[in-house]
Amino acid sequence: MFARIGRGFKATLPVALGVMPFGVAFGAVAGLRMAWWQAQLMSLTLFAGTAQFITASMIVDGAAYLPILITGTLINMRLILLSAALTPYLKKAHRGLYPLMAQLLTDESFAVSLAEFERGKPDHYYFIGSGLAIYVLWQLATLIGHTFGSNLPAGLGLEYALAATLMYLLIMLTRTRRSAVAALFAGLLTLALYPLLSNTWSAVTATFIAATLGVLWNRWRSPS
Amino acid sequence: MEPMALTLLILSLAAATYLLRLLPMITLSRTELPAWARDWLGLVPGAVLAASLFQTLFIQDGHYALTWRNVYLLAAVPTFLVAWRTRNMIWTMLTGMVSFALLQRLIF
Repeated sequence: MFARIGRGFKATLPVALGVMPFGVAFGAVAGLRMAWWQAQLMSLTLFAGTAQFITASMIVDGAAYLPILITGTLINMRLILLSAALTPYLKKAHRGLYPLMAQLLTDESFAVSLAEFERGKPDHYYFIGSGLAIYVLWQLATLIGHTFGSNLPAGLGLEYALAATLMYLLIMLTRTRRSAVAALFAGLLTLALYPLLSNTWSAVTATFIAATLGVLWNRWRSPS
Repeated sequence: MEPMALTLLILSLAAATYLLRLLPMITLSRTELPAWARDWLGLVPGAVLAASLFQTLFIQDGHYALTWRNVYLLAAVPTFLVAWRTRNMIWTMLTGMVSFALLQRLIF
């Protein structure tokens, strides 16, 4: 068992190291409004990079409870897809391991494990090791970001780290032309709705409308 | 936000996300998600990010800021190009921060 966990852990280490800058950036942004233990609590419990980054920046902007909760949950909706796609490979696992495996599910542990399962044979302990590698380094990165983020001098363009990260994530998440068009539409719509709704509600509304129109467009173009 | 309210927010976010992770494992071992739901879920993250990004770039101090003095918008040009071309987070962040700092000095 430990050897199998170790295999997943080791195979995922390079990916986990690659995620660390993102965790450091989160820690630094969180440091603007959160105590170190709150940032760490977020990384320990929420453990979802993009959602942590967006919600932390909303907290910094002074957004209200409900819009933050909805936006963070919307971002994480894609975990349903990952969880559903992974489940067939976890059939042999004891039911008692499900709560643990669920917490360790991220884009990265999913990608590394699925690649391995399609080559070799499914192994839930490999997945647990993979998830643990991301989990441990994510905690460390958060701590580093929170500790050193506030000590950096002004004038380095740090205000722009959030916008730059959003652009990077946006490009990584919109791989098809339709998803890029839906994203662009959501962006324009949120600006159009801005005078009517608050910042955060206009984003939530625009997201719902853009994703729904994207689905309808697909059905209309290729009815099945 | 008060520290107590913030902690509560963090925990409720975590609880909602945990359900998103766990429920499909428990319920979907036999059934499958319908195609339209998979499609919708796939489009949501990009849309949320774009909405957030557009607000950051185009709205300053509560007003539309579609001017050449909007440093956030100007710095987005090189940053977006680097993000698109390199698909590398470190390069994207560095480009964004450096061009923002330089532009800020040039314009103000």
